[in-house]
Amino acid sequence: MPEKTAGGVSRSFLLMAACMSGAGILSLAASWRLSPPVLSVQATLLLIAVVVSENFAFNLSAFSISMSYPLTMAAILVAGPAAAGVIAAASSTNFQEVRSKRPLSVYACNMGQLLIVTGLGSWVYIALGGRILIAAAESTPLATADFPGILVPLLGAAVTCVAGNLTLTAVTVALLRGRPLVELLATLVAFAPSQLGLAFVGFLIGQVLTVNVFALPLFIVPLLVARQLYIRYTSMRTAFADTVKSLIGALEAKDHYTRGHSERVAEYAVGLGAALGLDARSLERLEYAALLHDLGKLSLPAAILRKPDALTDEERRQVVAHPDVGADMVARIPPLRDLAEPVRHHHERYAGGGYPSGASAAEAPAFGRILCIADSFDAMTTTRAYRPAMIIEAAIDELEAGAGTQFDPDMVGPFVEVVRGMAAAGVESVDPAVGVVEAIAVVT
Amino acid sequence: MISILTQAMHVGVAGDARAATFAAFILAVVLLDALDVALPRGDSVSVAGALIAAMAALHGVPASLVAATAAWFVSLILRGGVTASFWKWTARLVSLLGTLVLEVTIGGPMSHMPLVLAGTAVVLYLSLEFLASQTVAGLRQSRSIIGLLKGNLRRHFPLMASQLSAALLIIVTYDGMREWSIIPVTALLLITRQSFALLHEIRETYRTTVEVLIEAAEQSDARRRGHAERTALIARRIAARLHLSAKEVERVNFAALLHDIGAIAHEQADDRPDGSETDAGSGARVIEGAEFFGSVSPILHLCEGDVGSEHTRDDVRAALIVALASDIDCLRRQVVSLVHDGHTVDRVLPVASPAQKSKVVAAAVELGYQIPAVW
Repeated sequence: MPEKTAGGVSRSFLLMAACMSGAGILSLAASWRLSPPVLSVQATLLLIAVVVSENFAFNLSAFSISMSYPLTMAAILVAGPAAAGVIAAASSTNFQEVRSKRPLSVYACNMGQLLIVTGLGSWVYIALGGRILIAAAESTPLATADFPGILVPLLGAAVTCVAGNLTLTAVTVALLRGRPLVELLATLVAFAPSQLGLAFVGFLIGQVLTVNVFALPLFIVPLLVARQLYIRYTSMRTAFADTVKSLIGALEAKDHYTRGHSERVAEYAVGLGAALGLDARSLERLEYAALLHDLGKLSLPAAILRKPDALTDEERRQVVAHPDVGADMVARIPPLRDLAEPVRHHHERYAGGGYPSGASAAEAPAFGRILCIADSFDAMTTTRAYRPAMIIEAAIDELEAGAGTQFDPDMVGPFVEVVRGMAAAGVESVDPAVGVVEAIAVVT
Repeated sequence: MISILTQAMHVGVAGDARAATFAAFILAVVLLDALDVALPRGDSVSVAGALIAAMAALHGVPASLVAATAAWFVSLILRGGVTASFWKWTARLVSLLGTLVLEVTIGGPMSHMPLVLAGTAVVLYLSLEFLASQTVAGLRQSRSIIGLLKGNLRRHFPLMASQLSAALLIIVTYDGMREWSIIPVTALLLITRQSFALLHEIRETYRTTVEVLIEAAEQSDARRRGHAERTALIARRIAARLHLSAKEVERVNFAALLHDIGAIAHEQADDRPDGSETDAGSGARVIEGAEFFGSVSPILHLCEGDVGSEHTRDDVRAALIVALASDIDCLRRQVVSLVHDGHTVDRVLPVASPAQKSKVVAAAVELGYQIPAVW
């Protein structure tokens, strides 16, 4: 964990903020000297629009995307490097964040990043033969004669800005939150196509501004619609896991012994997934798979789930079929279809001989092997109708004894570390006393 | 008609569309159509209408019709799916013919007219395309066209507004950039389309996940099997018959799917008295932790007889629909009534107005459902 200062940010981040803001200011000064900005109505409008739009930014988990990005790209085309730098710097003023007393270093870092990226993008645009649309009070919009040649500098500027933005954002978040850089880069790359699209929208804004300033509001509707739809999507996506937890939790309540099982398995599985280095998107999928892994069991009569005696052949057949039943149901949810196989394999053994197929789980999806360990551990540490709960250390012994036969040997070690870490942190599901108390209650 | 077509040909010839313009429009339409958002009942939403409308405004309806038809052929070669794409093309053809009337009235491509006229043509085209696509969907799915129009207008309005803006952007920048203006506008449309697709996908994920979870839970008791899904189907049909908005139909659908979740969770719980099987569990309490179902909770409260809970007139109407749908299913399958504690409507009736009762019952009767005697 990076060492923190009194302001809550690491020393390495402070150093990075100082370097970034310094480089940003140098970049702006160089742009100003080489290509002084021309005061125009269009540039002023862009400056106002960028400040307004920044206060309508929307968040994507740890990251933030705002409408000011295409406006900055428009500034590169319309007003050149220095003016684009000023407009980019203005886009880092967010009144909500000012009110929330965000550390000054974060502003400095953001502003430096924007200045560097915009400066680089502008100079790549000019170096590749691009022309600035408003120079010396004369505005000359792009014309047919400019095409297709102008596409090269436009694309060069767009790629430079997107690559620079994503890389510097990843580095900043890695230093600020102590998260792995590679994982952040892998997550952020997914935003590259939409960022490129927005860059070209920005160029169109620049062109429209040069042709007819009054046409600028035409951009407001599509961008606002896209933004509103996206906000609703992110809010619904964030609430999805909670919704499934509520429903599964209620339906699991029919069996006292498995109450809360899926939620605990999800907690263990995500812990193990993180220890194995899965990225944020994979961890989210893993959580969904874990929450739904016992869907097939919900369709079993409570009498079978609660039966303390040996099951009849028919009852056993139903229990053994539950991973298949659950997998078939998960396969019917189109966006979660890829989670059907892990659900189907969560009772297969690593060396073979599990159920439903009895095949070796070594070939099964990694999620299936993670679910197998998490599910088995929770089953061992909670009381069932046919046996009391084990204490955590005994369950860990069982896991270690089963490494290579029942469980993936490469996953048992990390899982044990995760469980011990959770127990030490006082996570309720791995409270060592729970198993002991439940065991005593059942024995007496 | 002959006169209109003759004038149309004249307008088409008068237009100055170049091969490159055609190619750019066709490619962009093919791309946007390839990325259309598939809806559950077989139809789809595309934002390519903006390009077709812009083409019609800039180069005349015949030129746009040629481009739209060529795009259809290219799509057919690349993707197949003759029926779906034929209906989409038919909707576009009808819309373009409607726009042609305006163009012939004006006497030439709208690009030669003030921007406001070009905008009028785009609005006309997009409105006709929406009307035609909903009519086609209604005819193909045997659903009420008025219901579809009313239900989907609010949902599609933001997309139509975006397409109008995009089309006008092409018109504004076309003089200088010609066909190159299509590239950034297509990017703008793709961003809007992507946001719509993501929202649609997460909605579908919620719907199918709830359906699957309820189905899984119902499997454990043969008497309940399929009841929630059938209730949801009946409730949706009644809601559509009453011309409720798409949002309200969705709320009714979720409430119908979940109306027995409290009972399912409760009836097999350890603490139930031996032999008793009642609907005493509270579905509203089960879902109270799930923010997504916040709007469904008042309906479930009412269906559970908690008439003292906070509710609106719309909640009462929705609860009546769900309760009646559940009772209709119980009446059709007596085995379900064994696990239902009397008529669900009995719990909602005390707060329902006579007008609400008569409208909901009339809708169910018109759909051919047998109504429980309590009504």
